[in-house]
Amino acid sequence: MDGFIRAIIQGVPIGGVFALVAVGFVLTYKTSGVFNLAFGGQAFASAALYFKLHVIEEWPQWISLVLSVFVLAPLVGLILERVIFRHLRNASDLARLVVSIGMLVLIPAVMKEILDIATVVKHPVGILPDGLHPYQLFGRYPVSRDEISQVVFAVLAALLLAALFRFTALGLQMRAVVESARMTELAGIRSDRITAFSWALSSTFAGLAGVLIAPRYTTVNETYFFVLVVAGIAAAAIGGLTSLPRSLGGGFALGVTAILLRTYLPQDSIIANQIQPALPFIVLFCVVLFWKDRATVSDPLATVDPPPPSSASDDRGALLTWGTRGFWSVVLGLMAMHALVWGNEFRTTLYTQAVIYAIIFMSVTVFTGIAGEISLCQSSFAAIGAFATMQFADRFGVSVIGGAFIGAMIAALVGAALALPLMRLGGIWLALATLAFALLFESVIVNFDWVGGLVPLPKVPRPLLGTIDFENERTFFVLCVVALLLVAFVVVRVRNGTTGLFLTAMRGSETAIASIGVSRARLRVTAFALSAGIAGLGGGLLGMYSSTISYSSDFGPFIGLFWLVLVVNLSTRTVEGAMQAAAGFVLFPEYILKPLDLGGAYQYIFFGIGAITFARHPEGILEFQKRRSMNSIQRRIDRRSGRSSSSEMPSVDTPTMGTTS
Amino acid sequence: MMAMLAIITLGAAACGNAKADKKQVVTTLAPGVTTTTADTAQNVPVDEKGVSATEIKFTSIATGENNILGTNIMGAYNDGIRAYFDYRNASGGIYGRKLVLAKTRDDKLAFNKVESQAMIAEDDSFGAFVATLQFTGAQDLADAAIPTYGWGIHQEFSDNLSMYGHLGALCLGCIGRTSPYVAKTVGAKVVGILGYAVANSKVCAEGLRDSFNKFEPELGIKVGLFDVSQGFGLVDGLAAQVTRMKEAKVDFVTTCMDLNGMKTLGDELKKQGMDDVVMYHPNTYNQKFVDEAGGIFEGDYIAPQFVPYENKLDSELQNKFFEFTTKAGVTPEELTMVGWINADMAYTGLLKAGPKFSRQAAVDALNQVTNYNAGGLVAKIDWTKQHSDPKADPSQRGEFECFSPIKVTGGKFVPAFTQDNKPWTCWSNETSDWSEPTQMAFAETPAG
Amino acid sequence: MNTLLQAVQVTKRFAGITALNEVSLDVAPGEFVGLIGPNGAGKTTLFNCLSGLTRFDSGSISFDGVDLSGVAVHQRARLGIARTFQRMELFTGMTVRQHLLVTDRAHSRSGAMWKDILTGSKARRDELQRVDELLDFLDLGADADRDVAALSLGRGRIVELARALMTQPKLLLLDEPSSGLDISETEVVIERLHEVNRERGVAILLVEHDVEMVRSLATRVFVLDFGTRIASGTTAEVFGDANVQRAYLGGVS
Repeated sequence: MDGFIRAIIQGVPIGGVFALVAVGFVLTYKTSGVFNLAFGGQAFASAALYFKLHVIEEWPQWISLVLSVFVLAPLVGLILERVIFRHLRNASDLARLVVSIGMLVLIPAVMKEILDIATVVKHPVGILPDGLHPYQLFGRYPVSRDEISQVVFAVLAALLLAALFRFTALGLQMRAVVESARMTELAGIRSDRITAFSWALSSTFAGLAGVLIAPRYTTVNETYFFVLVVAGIAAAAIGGLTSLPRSLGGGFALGVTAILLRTYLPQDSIIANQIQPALPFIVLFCVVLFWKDRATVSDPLATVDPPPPSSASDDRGALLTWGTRGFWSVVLGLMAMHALVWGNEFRTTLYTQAVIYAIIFMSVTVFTGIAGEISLCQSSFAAIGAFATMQFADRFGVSVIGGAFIGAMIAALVGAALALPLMRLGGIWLALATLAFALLFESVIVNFDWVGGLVPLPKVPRPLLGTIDFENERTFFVLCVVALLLVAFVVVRVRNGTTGLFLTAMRGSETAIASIGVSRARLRVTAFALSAGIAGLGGGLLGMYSSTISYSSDFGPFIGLFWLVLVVNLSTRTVEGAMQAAAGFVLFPEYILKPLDLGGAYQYIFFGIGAITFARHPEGILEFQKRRSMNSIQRRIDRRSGRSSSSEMPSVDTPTMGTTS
Repeated sequence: MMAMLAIITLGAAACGNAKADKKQVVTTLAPGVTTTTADTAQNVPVDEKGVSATEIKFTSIATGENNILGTNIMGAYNDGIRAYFDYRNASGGIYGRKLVLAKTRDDKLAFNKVESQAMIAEDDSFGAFVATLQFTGAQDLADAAIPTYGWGIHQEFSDNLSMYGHLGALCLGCIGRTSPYVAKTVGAKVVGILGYAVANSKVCAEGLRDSFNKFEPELGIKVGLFDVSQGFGLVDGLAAQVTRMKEAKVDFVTTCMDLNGMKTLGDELKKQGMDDVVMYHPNTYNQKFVDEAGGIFEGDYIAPQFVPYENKLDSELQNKFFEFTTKAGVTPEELTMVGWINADMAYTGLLKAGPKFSRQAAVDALNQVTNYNAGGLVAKIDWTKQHSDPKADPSQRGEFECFSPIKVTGGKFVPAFTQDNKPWTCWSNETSDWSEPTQMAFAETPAG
Repeated sequence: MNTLLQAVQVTKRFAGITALNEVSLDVAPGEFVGLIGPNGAGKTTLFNCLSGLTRFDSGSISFDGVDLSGVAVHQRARLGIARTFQRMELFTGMTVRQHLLVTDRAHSRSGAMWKDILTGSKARRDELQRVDELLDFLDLGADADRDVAALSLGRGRIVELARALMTQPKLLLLDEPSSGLDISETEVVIERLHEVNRERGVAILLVEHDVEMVRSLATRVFVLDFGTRIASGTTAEVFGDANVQRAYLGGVS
């Protein structure tokens, strides 16, 4: 009993921080439908400012606290709402998610540039002086000042929120919006003001959580806040992403459960070592799987994504088609020449990397572009491919190319297996479940000897085909290009074939596709498996390229988020989109940032800005620019040849139809 | 679809894998390669990358921006290299050439491979210095056969003959006597062992557990808590673990965690009234960090990866270190000495290679050295074998297991076991059984 | 008379409300049956139970001698049940022609991915011919290559009908096919439904507000009110029934 009480007392403070995150998260989700992953960035922003003001500049604690939590945090929230998310009200789940991931990366990068704390060697402290000072609760349970402040602020925030909801007009209106945004609008309440207010409030919660948790670490680094947010999301998921009191309770429950498990699980047991570190992710995964139905009943935002416009290239005439094809052939030809002939070996390796990432990114083309779903675990599929290649080649002596194909198949099987429990999930819930899987993969699965076994270093040899030794970077580049062409061929064939047709139809209406005799389950499994298989193949090649598998820097869950955003930003619908995203991913830092002498933060800043512009052009910037320039060129061609505007041409050129009749 | 893939796979299986038997072989150098001081002034034309008639250029790759530990890695490391080069250049450099740290690259945590590849592509440096939190470019540097000297905390320094960690190849998870010895010294009865649920940390912690268990009959120290369930990032803290340690009457704690973990652990021990528990730190050799922690670490033992600054030796290399860092206006930190030692390794390789040196010659020559010790600043490294992971091949283990810890006394670092100018507390590696250590010094033994 | 569709005492409750209360219904092969009742009577719920979209609490449904419990929506479609929807469910983003092509593919079960990869799965002549025939049959030729989002509500309903026919069903469940159609469109639909029923031998279960349409097409009629079957019989019998007149038709005729 003593141990039980002690565990609760130890779990409540961190639970309070989780609860703050969860409540803030639910506020914005309910009022604006944004699944705000940028929350981690917002928490970081306040923690960083507090650190700068109080620890570095040595301002008094309370001024620093007010400025960072009660000025900066609401301001960040307001800016996010006014400048970005307000314009996304009618955008798809995917668009909003992508923008929030962009912000997750952008906010810390900007804060670090402004505050100049990237290389400061000092340690964060809490909001009370001498935060480690212990008190004896009931004379026997020690708690520190930092922990007391965590509990007090979480409870205060909850009480204030309750009072706000109960006693103020604004609060009542907010509650109404939280219950049903649509109803509120019908009732004539301007939800704009309320949405803005909830963002400011939610951001304050994020900032508070950030400042409260910061003293746990030796430095203020955004990575730590991402982890915090995942735990917060798990707590919010317990509240179905909609209930504030349940999210609050979920936060505390999660904190206490973690400590209880640590107190009572047998030491050094499989459960303690494997399950414990993954607790929030397991909770998240299970909640999404088993409680999802209850949660979505009241979800007014569960709408079908608007149908994508037809691809820009569908509307162009033959001359322009050959023109653009010619242009790209020349560009790609020049790049290939640069990689193979003119450039030094470093250029070759860069291009090889771009080619491999293009393969991996095509898994997004399949899953998001064609099937219209969001997966946040593509990096795990790629890792599975890489590890399987390593296991088969290094430990079982199979040819490494064979290993890569086996790896792709294993990834496909895992994808298919994952598709089964996630069958009924769509949109944001699928995104959540796949994110949980990616985190689970990282914290548990990758450590198994038969998967990654990161010690000793997992090494992948280069292939040897007859007399062709792919140790040579140029030969290996050619091999990767061949793989890319093969994958691109498969993707295009599938997109234009029956499977693509079925998937497009399913995006249009899940009910109707079943009513004409197509199994949604099988279609879903197919999409998952193909996408995972492609990612796995790319992962295997990346392993060969690198010789050693660096899981955390190449395949971590947040890398996967980064990939998704990049591809979606450019274009998920076309194979070129994936290629250009890969080129951007690999070549941009080297060819643009380095010559301009811009620091690493700028990559993230550009990335974030890219995500914002994406919000305006949900089909992808590339697709948008392509359409615009093609239309103008087409008009010019038409004018010269005396035809009328292209828009009146029947679009017979749609993928499946055009060719035979 | 499956059938098609299977056919491709079978076809591919008929072919082999490159690198299967391409492991580098140590080329034996003709015996009697000796150099005299006169030789170091001899400037012979050399056709090698990064070498001109007047200079030998090096590049460093270190983690600056985005260091999640909040320590000063890049700055301190580069300072250490520069100070060493200043020292050698003050007496004319080597072979009539100045040693120059021509380029410093910041891998920003995530770009180690890119920076390594870019360095290889530019190919304008004789060798590389590496002090990073991740070492994803290791294989590239090894394949390019660029002599690479680095902060030896990564496994990547094993298995490549042109790569030198400042500690020799790591023995992650091996049976070791240092930690049990410290526990015995402080009269501990029950030990707590903590690690992260991350591969490296876990393997290391398991090694500690196995060591304590193995020596329990001799030392009477029990493992009271072994916990590797904490995810990296410590979201839910170490409160429960510390409570369990308290219940198990743990009086000594040792870990495989980073600075973050040590701080959280220290905070939690203090909170739960366990200030008097002694900690043995693998990685907290940072006076500033200990100062800021405000007394939590009092009485603890810390093992730096070299002879600590507080332990003044009768060693030219240590004296020169203080002289030249002071001259450069640098306050020594942990990585400053690592940079200094790495620079000495590079210099030693050149020195042994002779005036007609090349990259390969520098590597081969250093790999002949059986007692490398940086003027006594590190324990003896036998480069003829300490390139391989000793856990995989015990015959490749170095002759001694040594450490040179300090004890936090009155907030200051005081050398712990040093005697008669012998800073190293060592055990023979002929057996991994328990024995009392011997105090040793390595500087007096002539190199080679 | 043998039956094609047999629903026996189907009951469905939603959160305390009994949407269907022991409703029984049968359709013979090639028969044209009407299902009428006021709004909220449970007609669409019954349709959803028949096509598998909704699970019911008790009772049984069999089709063509097969018990449908545990049979998924797409499997029922393959058995020969096709339907249209009251709230239209078109494949937004696709053209009318693609709607029919995709349905034809689904029907011929040529959906394997490896086939796409190896052959490219281009539209075959016979497929296009079947699609064109149906387009002609329902006068959809002019709209064939338009995105369905650009069509009027009435045309959309006809596309749904075309799609349902494309599966070559034995039984067609039509949920208010005439709502949103103008008079001439309605006439075309009536004529075509007649043809489908008579010439192709497709059994039809029609939910319709347009009583005249039901009277002119159906040979038998079921009447639902508050989830209960209040009448059934030949069209003449049902429309002559006093109860039906009072409960449902009173306001209309």
